[in-house]
Amino acid sequence: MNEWYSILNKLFDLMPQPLLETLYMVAAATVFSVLLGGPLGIITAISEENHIWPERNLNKALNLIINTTRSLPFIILMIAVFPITKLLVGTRIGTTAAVVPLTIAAIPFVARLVEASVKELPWGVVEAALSMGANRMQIVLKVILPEALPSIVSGITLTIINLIGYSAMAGAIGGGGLGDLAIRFGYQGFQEDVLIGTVIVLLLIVQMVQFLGNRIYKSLIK
Amino acid sequence: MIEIRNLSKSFIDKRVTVDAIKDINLTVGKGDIYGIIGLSGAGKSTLVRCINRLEEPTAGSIFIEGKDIMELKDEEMLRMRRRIGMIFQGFNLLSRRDCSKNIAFPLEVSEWKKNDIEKRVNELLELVGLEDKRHSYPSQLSGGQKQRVAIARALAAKSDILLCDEATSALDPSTTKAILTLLREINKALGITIIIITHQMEVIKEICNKVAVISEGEIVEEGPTFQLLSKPNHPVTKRFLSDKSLEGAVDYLEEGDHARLYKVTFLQESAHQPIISGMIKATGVDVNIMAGHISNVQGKSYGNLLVELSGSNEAIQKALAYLSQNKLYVEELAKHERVV
Repeated sequence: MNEWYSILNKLFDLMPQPLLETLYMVAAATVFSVLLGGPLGIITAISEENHIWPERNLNKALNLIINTTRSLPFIILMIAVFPITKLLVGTRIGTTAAVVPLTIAAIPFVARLVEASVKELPWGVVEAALSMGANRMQIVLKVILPEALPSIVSGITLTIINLIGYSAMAGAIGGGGLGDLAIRFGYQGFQEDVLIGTVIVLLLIVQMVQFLGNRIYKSLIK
Repeated sequence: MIEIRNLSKSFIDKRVTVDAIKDINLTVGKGDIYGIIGLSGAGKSTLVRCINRLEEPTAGSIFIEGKDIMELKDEEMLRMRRRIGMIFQGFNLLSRRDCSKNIAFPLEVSEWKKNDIEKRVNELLELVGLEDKRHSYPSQLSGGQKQRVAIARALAAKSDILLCDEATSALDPSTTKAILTLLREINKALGITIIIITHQMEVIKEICNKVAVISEGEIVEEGPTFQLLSKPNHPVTKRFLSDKSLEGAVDYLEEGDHARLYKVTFLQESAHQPIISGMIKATGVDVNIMAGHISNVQGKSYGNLLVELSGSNEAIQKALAYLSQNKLYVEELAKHERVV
């Protein structure tokens, strides 16, 4: 009994700070990547041939950028974007600094998911809007976005879960967070209880995000 | 009035140029319900999409009220489209908007004021008989109800032209009839010109006052519905009108012999007279009646009778002359002609 008590005590002592760091990194990176990657995904989808804004070269360029960024392993991307991080945050290390590579990694991911959500919309609804004299902006804002929203929400759920995974690596640049805690105390410090405790907490967070994501998705489907 | 002049559309598919429609000429009068019938792949969907330039024609002109829409700039074309409603086989309603919001969509696009939108939506819900469904989402509606919402939406911005792209093809026969009745009412009450694309001859028979038959991208025959249906000339038209019972009779005869088979068409006026019996008495030919049926097109009827005539050549010639004198239309069917 006493042993359990001391383990829990230790975890309650160690956990809050890294937990908050993780939540902070993930939340900030999610917001920024959706704001930047969402429009990118929509533009990629509608600039395709036969869509409402066919722009061959733009479409090719966007696809190239998205593919390049997505093919970099996160740990390498994190180091590669140091100059950008320094420029934006003023420092290359720390929790806030880690938000930059996390966001940059998530933007193309969000863009691809949003692009897929837009492309899976039946063309008929877009065609109907065109037949009523809607312009491109109206079609994006009044047809494409609202109709694709449930599917985009699923994509964002997936992004958040991915970001939780990536954020574990942020410890490498002093970003802190639960992953860092697990590595430093649990793995390197041979404290298995901390390692297991962290894993359980991460598991709970992921479950909760998925649960909420599904709930919102269902409420959006009519 | 819509005048289509020398309209062509070709596109390149895997480096091969495909002519979807070729040199189409059509004139649709104000208040017409104009049917365009063709098999799938005949180019009818392309043709109807050229009228509001959802498809960009390769050549030709389209005049709407005398104005060539091919010369309109993008912004002007958007405004023109607001005058041309369109409904589709798949309804294409916005799934996350309820009925009234769906109907409001074109009005939002045209930047109507909120109060005006509300008023107009109510009028339209009443027009299509869906006042009690205003807050239902498309997934809660039947196919017929969805098409009613689509019709209301297409007419919302006070369109005076309605394009129907296979609008009843996904509906069962009784719902099809109800939707066609609604279209006819709208045409009568509001004077809206309707262009209907279909592969169903029933649709043409039910409401179109004019019809064009399209095959392989070309109009092969056109005219007032009754005239064209009762006396079709082109094989494609005949195939659309072919009657299974007549076909069966032809198959039966094919096994035989020297039978001479005629298709006799009689129109409304001649249907009440005993012309065949008169012909037998006057000429002495023997008549074997193989099959027959009567079709009704918007209150007017015409009949087809498939008869085998036998006797001397002279008697048969006399008999045919007798039928022509009595204003019946006679056509000899070649031995292997299956299209009746």
